[in-house]
This record gives sequence, C-alpha cells and structure tokens, in this order.
Amino acid sequence: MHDHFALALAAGQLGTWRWDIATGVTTWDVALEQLFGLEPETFDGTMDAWVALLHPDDVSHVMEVVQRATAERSPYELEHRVVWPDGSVRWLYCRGMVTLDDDGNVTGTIGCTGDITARKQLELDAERRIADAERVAARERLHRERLEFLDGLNDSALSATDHRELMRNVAGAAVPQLGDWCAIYFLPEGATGPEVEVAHADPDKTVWAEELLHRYPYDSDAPRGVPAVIRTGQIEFVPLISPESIERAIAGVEDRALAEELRSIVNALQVTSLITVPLRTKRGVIGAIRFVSAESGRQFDDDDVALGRTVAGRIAEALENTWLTDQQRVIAGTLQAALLPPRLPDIDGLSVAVRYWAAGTATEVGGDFYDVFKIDERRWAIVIGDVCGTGSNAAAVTAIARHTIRAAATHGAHHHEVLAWVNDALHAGNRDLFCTATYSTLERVDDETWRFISVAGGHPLPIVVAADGTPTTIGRPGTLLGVLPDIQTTTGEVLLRPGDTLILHTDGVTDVRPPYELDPETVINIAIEAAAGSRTADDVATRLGQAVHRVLPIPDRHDDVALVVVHILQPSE
Amino acid sequence: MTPNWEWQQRTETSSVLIVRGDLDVAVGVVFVDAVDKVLAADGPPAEVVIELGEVDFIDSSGLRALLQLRHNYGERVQVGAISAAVERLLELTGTLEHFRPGGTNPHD
Repeated sequence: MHDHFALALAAGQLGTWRWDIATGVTTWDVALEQLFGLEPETFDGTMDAWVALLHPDDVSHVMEVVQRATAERSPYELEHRVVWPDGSVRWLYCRGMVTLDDDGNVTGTIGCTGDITARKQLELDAERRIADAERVAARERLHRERLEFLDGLNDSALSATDHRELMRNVAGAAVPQLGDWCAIYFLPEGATGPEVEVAHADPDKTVWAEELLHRYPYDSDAPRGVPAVIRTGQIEFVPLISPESIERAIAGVEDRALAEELRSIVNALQVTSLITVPLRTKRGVIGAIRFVSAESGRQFDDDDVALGRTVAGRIAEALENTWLTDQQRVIAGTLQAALLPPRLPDIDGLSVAVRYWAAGTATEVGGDFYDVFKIDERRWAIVIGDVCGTGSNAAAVTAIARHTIRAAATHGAHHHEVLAWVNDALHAGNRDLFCTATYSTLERVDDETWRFISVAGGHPLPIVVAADGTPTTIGRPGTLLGVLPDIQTTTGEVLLRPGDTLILHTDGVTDVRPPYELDPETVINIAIEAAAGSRTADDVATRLGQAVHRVLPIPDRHDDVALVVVHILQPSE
Repeated sequence: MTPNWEWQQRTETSSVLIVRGDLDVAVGVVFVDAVDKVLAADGPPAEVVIELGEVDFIDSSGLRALLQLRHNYGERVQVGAISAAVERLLELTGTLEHFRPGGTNPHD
C-alpha cells in the first residue's frame, strides 16, 4: 500500500488538503479536485460538499476513522470510494495527520490523497475470480457426489436382503450429501399405513425422528406433505421454508397446545428446504422419498429436484420387487419348514448334521427334502431327495415321498421296495413331476460297527469317506421316481467304523451349469477335504458348505442344496 | 438362453430336431411346445428324432421335457446322439435305457 502511495506521489498524481477547525473551511488543491472529478476551483470548502462526494456506503466508515484520529490526535490511512459527478465510482487512498497548536489543541487535519482505482479493480477481479472458482468447484463437488450417490444406489438396492434394508440403505446413502435428512415412505399393497425409514448423518437425530413419527400418526388425508404426494402423485418442492410458511401451516391446527409443540419441533429441526417425490411403479404410487435440508442451510434447487426424481425412479421398482420377494419368502419358508423334520434324533454313537441352502432367490419352495428317523431299536433310516420343480406341486410331491418312505420303512419293506412304493405313489398321481431320492439305513452291528445299506433312485449316490480318507460311493444309480411304471435299482452295502464319514447330498450335479463344475469327482474331492480331520458331523457339514459356496455362490444357484452328514464316533466319545 | 434348435427333414415321415447349447428351465417348456406343434399337425412327420449331441448343459427341467414328450408320444419321439452332459444326467437318473431306441421303432 505504501509502495503504491509512493508511486502515486512520484507520478505527481497526488492531491492535498487542509482542514481548519476554527473556520470550518477545507482547502483543496486542483489535483485533489481532479481526484474527486471536480472542475478546478469549484470545491466550495464545506464539509457537506465533501461528504456528498463520498460513496454512500463508505460515509460512515470514513467519518468514523477521521473522528477517531482527531480524538486520538493520531495520523490515519483510509481507502474509500467517491462518486464523480458523471456517476463513475473511483477508489481513493488518503493519508491524514491531525494538526495541533503550541498548546496541543487540535487545529485541523492535513493530508494527501491518491487514486487507487486500477489496483482496487485488480484486487476485486481476483476476489471475484476466486469466488467464481469456488462456486464452480462446489458445483462440481455436488455433481460428483450426486453421480457417486446414484452409482451407489444400485449397490444399496442389490445388497439388501429385504425391503426394509433396501429402504434403510438408500436413505442412509442419501445423507448428508443430498440432504440433511432423507425419509422413505412405503405403502405396501393392502397396508393401512406406510413403512418409514428415516436417516440423518447423526444416529441420535435418526432416533429422534423415529420417535416423532411414532408420535404423530400418518394422516393419509393431510393436505400437504408426504400423504398429498402419495395421493396425487405430484412432486412437492418447497425451495425455502420461511417462518411465515411455518405459521401458515400451523394455523390449520386447532389444538393450540399441539400447535405450540409443532412449532417448537419445526424450529428445532431448522428445516430450510424440502423435496418430496412420489415412488411410482406399474401398480401406481407406492410411496414417497423425501429430502430435507435443515441445519446445513442449503436451499434445494431444480437440480436437486431432478436428482430426487431420478432416485425415485431407480428405487421404486426395486423396492416393490424386494417387498414381493419378502412376502413369497415368508410363505415359502413356512411351507419348507413343514416339509423338513423339526429336529434330528439323538443316536448313540453317531454324530448327525444336516444343512439346507435354499436357491438364490429363496422365493419358492425348493424341491429338496431330507429325513432321519428310527425304524426300530437297532436301525435308523436316512432319506435325502430332490423333487424336480418348485412351488406347491413340488411341495405336494415332497410330502408324498417323505410320508410314503416313512410308512414303507416302518412296515418292514426292503430298500428297493421302499423306493418302488414311492414310484407307485407318484406315478399314480400323474403330476408331471418326478423325484430323485436315496433311501438308506444304518444298523448297529456292535459297539464300533454300523452296517450302511442304501438304494438310489435317480439320485447322486451316498459318499463314504473312510477314517483314512479313502472315498467310496455306495450302490449304483437307479431309475428316478414317478415317471416310469417300473424302476430299476441296485442296493449297496458297507460296514462303517469309528472315524468314517457318510455324506448324502442333493444336487449341485444335475442342476448346476458350467463353469460351476460340481461334477461327481469334484464333489468327492470336496467331501474328502471336508472329512479330513473333522471330529463331528457338524464340522464336516460346515466345511462342505464353505467349499460348495466357493465353487457355486448362492446367488448363482438355481436349485436348493441339502446335505446330511453322519460321522461314526469312537465308542468312548 | 434363447432356444437354440433347428429342424431337419430326414425322410418323409421323420423329422430331426437338433438341439444346441442349454436345455434348461428357460427352454424346457417352449421346447415341448415346439415338438407338440410338429407332431400334432396333420400329416408328416410321423416321428421326431431329437439330437442332443451338441447340448452343453441339461438340467432337471430339460430332462422333464424329454420325459414328458416320451410319455405323450411314446416311440414317435426318439433320442438320437447324446452329449457327455446329457449322458451323465440320463445315467444318474436311470433313464438312459428308457431313451435308447433299441430297435423298437415301428417305423424302421
């Protein structure tokens, strides 16, 4: 600044003045008059004439500095604007000193002034450029955040295991980038009120919002807000929520105490801006997503509305589909549970474990079934089977197969007869469905030895992994059940001793598409690895499950997988 | 997977259906419909030979389709060549013999 002043001095572009308190007259030289845009010798020397030339916005600042300097008898510096008679605005720099008489009384001021408009312009330009750059950067950032959010939306939706989780994921992903709050309302078909998920970056605030939602029940007839958006299917966009608009909204509430409470809540929320977008599917409007700007003070604009619309478009179908899937899963799960034994019997000397993995979507009743039951004091039956097809017909076949096997086994039928009974029962039904199964028994021979006898009807053969790791499949493939009037089966038999492991499984083999090669050899290798070193059937089943998941991830499955594992315990165990 | 098969006229009374790729749940029902249409039409062909030598994958739905056709049309539906994938499934399910023509074709 001083350099600049020196420059101005050197260039001779400096005006000077002297103010005499006693006379009230200010004397300007011609150079100073020029700096104020006046013709030579036209300044009348009054304080008023000077003040009138100052830029209105700078008057108070200039007067304050001058008065303080006079009071403190100190020199001063000032930068201020003047308005020339032609209307143009110039920036001046002035440096003043207070003059004193011999007794130290203030007699006036004296000083020089120069024009700094050019420098000021540069400074202002630079500031504007920085501000512009910051604005552009902020917009870019917002834009990027929005794109990232949209990218993340698919992940949020896909990774959800049920519709509530989907709502939670999406709302959670939206804050705080798209709004301080995000709420998703979903009205399932036939429901009386909406399901709501609210998110805020601060979990405590989320809890608070949930409490509020409980306290003020959803009013589907409300004239504005989410219910109105869901009713009309129209977007509601409130760019700026003013105190007046809050009052207008509260004026409609008749209960004054309630109105007071609402006012304090709204004020505490500091809501500034709102966007509510309907969630629309082929069925119609199924809910709404609401973005709320609050303590951040950000005002939503048309870009935000467009983004809200995009988000709503992306999640509406996904939300409804996930919900439908949930409903089917509940039904399927209930049915499936009815078709599988509630618990396994405890068998002295044997460790038994079962696993059941429903196919990827888990939306239908799978066709796999298993059963373990007691025939008499020495013998136990093990059944595993797979009905081709899913849904209620498959469930019926499963039930027929399981109960026919139980009936045949406890009536003393031989192994091949048991499967023949099932074949007859299914074939008579003529359901255009078939079933594969193995029927096996374990008979206690002595403290350490069990006789395993098995027969397969179109089903993968049981695998025995001996204590030393040697694998064997038991029996031979036989005809599947329910298609042909007569079946061909071959019964196999083996003696099992402590440390041996028996593995019965459903597919993977018939219904698994390459490259997931779960061919019989791979299955046997997996079985050997799982059995090695395992001390209980549960260990083996867990390891088998992990190995199968690696080869064939659950989402890629088209069919259920069921496992029954039996491990022969040491007599002391 | 889109249905991928092709008809060929072998003799006046025999059509050949060559199936390629996957014979699975996505194809099974349409596959049965296609054969139904041909066999239900008036006039030739009297029989259909299904060639499965180029099938990469067959699942239980594919097997069901074959069993259903065999059930509905008996010897009018024959299975010709089979790929390793098909053979594995037919063997496991004990249905390989069932599909073998075994010289029982009355039209030979």
